[in-house]
Formats: sequence, structure tokens, C-alpha cells
Amino acid sequence: MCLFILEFLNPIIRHYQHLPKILQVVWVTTLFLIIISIIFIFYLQYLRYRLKVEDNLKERLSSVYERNLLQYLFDDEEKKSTKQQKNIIKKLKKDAQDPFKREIIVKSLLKLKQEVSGSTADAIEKLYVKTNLKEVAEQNLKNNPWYAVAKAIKELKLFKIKEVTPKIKLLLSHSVKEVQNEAQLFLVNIFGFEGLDFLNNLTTNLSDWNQIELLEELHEIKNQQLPNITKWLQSKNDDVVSFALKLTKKYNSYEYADELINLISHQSQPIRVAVIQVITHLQIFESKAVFKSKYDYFSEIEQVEIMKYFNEVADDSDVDFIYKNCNHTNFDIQFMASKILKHLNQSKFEKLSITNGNVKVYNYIKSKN
Amino acid sequence: MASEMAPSISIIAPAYNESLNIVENVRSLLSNHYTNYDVIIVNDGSTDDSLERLIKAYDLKKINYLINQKIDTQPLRKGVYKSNNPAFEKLIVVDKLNGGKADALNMGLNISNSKFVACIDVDCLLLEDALQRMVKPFLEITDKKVVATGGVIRIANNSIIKDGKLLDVNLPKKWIERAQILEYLRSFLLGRMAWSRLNGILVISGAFGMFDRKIAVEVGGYDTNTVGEDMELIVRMRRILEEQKVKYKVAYIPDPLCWTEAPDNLKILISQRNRWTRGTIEVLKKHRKIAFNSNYRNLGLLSYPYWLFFERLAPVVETIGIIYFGILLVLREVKWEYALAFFVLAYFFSIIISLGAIFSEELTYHQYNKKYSGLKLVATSFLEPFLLHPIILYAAVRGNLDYFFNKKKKWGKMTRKGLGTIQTKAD
Repeated sequence: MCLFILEFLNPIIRHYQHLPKILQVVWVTTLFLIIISIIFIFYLQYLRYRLKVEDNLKERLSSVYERNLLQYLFDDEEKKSTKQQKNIIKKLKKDAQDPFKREIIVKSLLKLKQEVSGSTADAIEKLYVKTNLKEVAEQNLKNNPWYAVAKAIKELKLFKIKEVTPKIKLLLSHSVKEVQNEAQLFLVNIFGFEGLDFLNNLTTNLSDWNQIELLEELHEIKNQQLPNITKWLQSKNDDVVSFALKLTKKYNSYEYADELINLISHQSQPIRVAVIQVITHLQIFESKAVFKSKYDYFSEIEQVEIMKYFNEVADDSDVDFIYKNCNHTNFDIQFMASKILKHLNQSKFEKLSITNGNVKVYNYIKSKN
Repeated sequence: MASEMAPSISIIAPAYNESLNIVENVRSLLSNHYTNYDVIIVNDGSTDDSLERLIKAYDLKKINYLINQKIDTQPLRKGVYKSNNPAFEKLIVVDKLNGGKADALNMGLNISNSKFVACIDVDCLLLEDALQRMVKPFLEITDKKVVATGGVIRIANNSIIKDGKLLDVNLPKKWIERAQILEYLRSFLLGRMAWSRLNGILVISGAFGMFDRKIAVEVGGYDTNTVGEDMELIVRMRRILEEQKVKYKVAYIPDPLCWTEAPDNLKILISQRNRWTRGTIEVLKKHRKIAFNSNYRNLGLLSYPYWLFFERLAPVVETIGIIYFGILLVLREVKWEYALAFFVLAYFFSIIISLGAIFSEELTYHQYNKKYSGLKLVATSFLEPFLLHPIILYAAVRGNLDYFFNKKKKWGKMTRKGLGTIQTKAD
């Protein structure tokens, strides 16, 4: 066989040796690409086969575990420690040592947990501990790639494992942002508003995305009282202030009206805009005077927001202020001012001087009932 | 995202003579899981009964609406419509005089009051969490201003779709569609992913892209004088932000979030690629100031030159090569030893890239998981250089000729069967 191959290759090699250098390089490169292509094709087929086998196995194991879990959970309460249940725990414990099977067990538990509540949900959390799944997640919090750490925190959060809190708190200062965020979400999920204490010392960024995630975690917790957030409204970290403003808006916290009015002159424009929006949402009348007196110092973006505020709270005492804005060069301001004026004082609205700049808005507002 | 704090998004979908599937397509757009969004359908002077069908299906009523004309567009035709039915409160339909896709998108930008706008083709199928995933970079990245995000476009031909939802992904039967799948995989899974790492993305597909509305409006919206309006907007945004020395990012989401219908016949495919070529030429010419200009950093030194050499000039170089080869053939001057060696090298090089794309797909999303799909894709990667590539080259040459000698040519006709038809077929 070898002789046959050599005999076949010999003339090709001889021909190759007589080729110019550049063609030798081209053919060697081509040969290399052909070999890589063949490896790729075989590996692709192997990969697809492996994925298919894994998918089938996952499907089969999921149904087995789900059946076991249901059997464990919905057996008669009195007989919680039957031999059969002990066997289920033993089996799950054993399987949980294999990372592949562990993942399926965790998924099955989470799937069930989403479908039940009350004592059954508690039983699932206990089962998570009994089957040593918790131990592995806890182990993953240490010296692992960041994504494994983040995944472990998320898992511990979903099973509400409170006792790992000291370890999670250490991860608040992890070098990777994703891990920090998961740690923050864990604390809020477990402790509600108390879990937000990390904001007191937060010096890093808290992105809008993280803020929304934290609010969604808080949303899940019922009957919670918003703690005193003055220190967050006064924080030097703009992201903390921004988050505190979102809390004020979400929980309709009128008690922070004074702090909000102070924040109108915050150095950051996005914060000022957010403050005006919260004030509008809460309809804080006390800020009217501040807005009117400092109106010209605000940027156009802020002026638009202020006009939205007046759209909610304006009364007869504001007619002159509103009138001045009916010829504003900004479309939104002009539109809202004209609308408010018509609502407050029809005759003054009709006396507006019509220019090329406001004729469209004027006619439109006039035509509206 | 269920939080009421989630930023507002407008989906802007221009429609021109989409009567066949518009009702179903709009229903799909209205079924997104994101909380705070609206859907603006801009009927761009359709000559069919698109508007009437929408009015009937969604119980629309004409409303009095004053548009802040921040960007100049063609005027309204019949006006602005909203639904009387609270179930469709997110829907706004604008009927305007025909002005082309860019003009319709600009009308959408004028109408929208949202913080972000997702500009899409009305016949695209969005996954339910598409908006949430697309908006994430805007909210998550804090060290740079994210100005736009681009999503992956996947081909839905022959896949099973029901009630605006993608139920089962299948490889198309026709080679022309299959070859395009391979082409899209290469482009989205390899090309754009790499450019994203370099923050060098120069084009976000017009089929699905999300923008910061304020920035999109401030730069003047879409350019109505080009057929490559999607690419042009990104290049202009980046150019202006580079000039203003703003730290910005054009983000890219590699997840398959948007499924569309690819041309299934040569005529439409050639027309589409002809337009893409003309669009590229127009954009690169308009923004030639950027080329090799270090003031524009990566944009001028990397992205622009890449597009110039590998997108704009590649078909020209290839055509010259073919003509030269033809001349040598006639003159019997071909050095076959060289010709064959380089041809085989180029062929296997293209195959390696395609196999790499299939490999990436299998390792990540594994969408084509049916029996023999892998082999079919591998076979397509061997055949594509002989089947699809010559057509693409021909379309690019036609695009060049049309650009220089047929200035009047604009979009060309893009007839679609519609994803709804695919559903019927599968059913």
C-alpha cells in the first residue's frame, strides 16, 4: 500500500521540485488549506453529531429529573423521608457531581420553581441544598473565570441561599463589572431595600441597564417600605443619584420634594433633566417658582422638560410665563406653551402675535377642541 | 423588559405596496415583549390597498396630528392614523406621498417621540426579545456613547412561521437561497463580529438597526439621495462624532434576532445586489474626505480603506482580471501552471472562510440542526464560488455601470413572496 502511494506521489513530488519558488509556496499553502478543510468537515460532522447526542440526552435526563423531582415534592407531606425520597436525593446528589447533569438538574429545579409557590417552592430551595448543588455553586464563587462566578451568583440568587451573603458581598468589588452586577442583584433579591446598602460606598458606574435590573428585582418584593434615600440623592456618584431619582419616581416619594428642588441646580445635565421629570411626575408645586426664575439659565432640553411640567401643573398665575414661550424657537416648547395658554386663557391665546415661526402651531392648537 | 423605567422605543417600518402581507407583518411587530414601545408604519405612497387593509384590520381612525418637521420629507397624503381599539394602541400609521425608503424613515423619525428608534423592513420578523437585546448596549455601556446597534439578519425562506412567530428553522431547498444563507453567516458571524471588536462597523443593515433618535435627527436623518441610506447614516454619524471628538460606539448584537426573506430568483437577487453596489459607491464617494485620514482614526485608516478595496474595488479588480485572462486565452499566452495554482488557492481559501462561518454557527446558535443540514451547508460552500459568486460579480458590475451611465436608476423592484406565504407552504 505504502509503495503504491509512494509510486503515485513520486512524479508529483518530482514535478513540484521543478516548479518555480512562488508556485511551490502556492501549492504548499493550497495543500495546507485542503488539509484544514478536510479536518473542518470531519470535525463539523463530529460536532453536529455530539450536539445532537447531547440534545437528546438533555431531553431524556430532563424528563427523568422532572419526574423524580415531582415525585419527591408531591409525595404525602407526612412521608417526607420515605426510602424512595431518600433514593431520589441520593441519585440527584450523585448525578450533580457531573457538570453536564448538574446543569440539567438545576434547570429542572428552576423550571419547577417557576411553576409553584409557597411551601413547594421552599421545598425546592431546600432540595437544592440537600443535593449538594449549593456546595458546587459556592465553590464556583472562588478563583474561577468571571462568567462562572457570575453564573454561580445568579444560581444562588434564584434559590435564595442567604448564608452565602458574606461571600457575595466580597464580590461587590470584583474586577469584572458583570460579577459586581450579579452580586448587587443577589443582595437586592435577598434583602430587598436593605440590599441596596452597597450604594452608600459605590464609586464605580451603575449603568442604566443595571439600575433597571435592580428596580425589577425590587418590583418582585411586595410590602416593602422605601428607606430613607436622602444620602443617595446627595451622593457624589451621579449614577447613585440617578438611581435614587428612579426610586423616588417609582415609589411616588413626595417626602423628598425639598431634596429634589435642591437637585434642580445639580452640575450634571442628565441629572437635572431626570430631576425635572421626577418633579413633573410627582407634580411638586413648590418648584414652580424655581423653574420660572431660573428658566433662561436652563438648556433647551431642560426647558422642554420644564414646559412638560407646566403642562401638568400650570394655573392662572403662570399665564404670563407661558405666554412668553408661545413664540419660542423650539417646536416642542412652542407647541406645549400654546396648548397650555389656550387651556388657561383662551382670549390671551387668540391675541398671540402670529409669525411665520408659529403659524402652524397656532392654527393647529386653535383647531383643536 | 417589564419595567416602566425602560426607555421608549419606536419601531419605524416603511411600507410600499406591501398589501399582501402587511396586516400579518404589523401583527408580528406588535407582539414584542418589550413594554415601552410603539410601532410607526409609514405607508410611502403605496398604490395598492395597503392603507385600506390596515384601517380595516386595526380599526384605525384618522387623527389630527401636527408633525415637527425636523427633517424635510414628502408631505402627508391621507394623514396619520391611530387605532380605536386599545389592543392596538401602540400602532401609528402614517400615510404620505411617495419619497422612497429614506424619506419614509425620516417621516418616522419626525413622528417618533421615543428615545430610541428601531428602523426595520416591514416584512422582517423580529424575535419577541429583539428590542430588549438591541437596546441593552445603549443602557449598559457607560464609558462611550452608543449611537447605534446593529442586529444579525437571518434568512427565513422555507422556515415555519405562524402568527408572526418563528417556529422552526429550515434550510431552503433552492441553491440560490442556501448560498445566501452561507453568505449571511460569513458576513454576520465573522465579518461584523470582527469589525465590532475594532469599533469599525460601517454599515448597519437597513433590515434591522437601532439608533439614538436625538443623534439620528441631529445629523439630519437618512439621506434621500442615495440608495445606500442605511450605510450612509452610520458613516455620517461616525464622521460627525469623530469630528466632534466624541467617544462613541456602534454596537453589534450577534444573536439572530431578525429574520427576513431572501430573493429566491436571479432577477431580484441581481437587482438587490446592483443596488447595494451603487449604495456603496455613493456613500464612499460622498464621504471620501474620511479616506486614509488619521483625524478619523479607525474610521479613516481601517474601515473606509477596507470598504474601498474589498467592497468597492474588488469586483472591478476581478472583472479586469477576467478580461485580462480572456485576452491571454485568445492570444494563447496563458501560463496554465500559474493560473491553475492560483485558482485552486483562491478556491480553497474561500471554502475555508465559509467552513469557518458554518463552524461558528454550529458552536454558537446551531440553528440549522436538521439532519443533513450540515452536509448541505458544506456542499454549498464548495459550490457557492461557482454558483452565487459569478451572479454577485455580475450584479456588482451592472451596479457600477448603472452608477456611471444610468443615474436615474434608483431602488429597483423588490418583489417578495412574504413570510406569510412561507407559513402557508409549511402548513
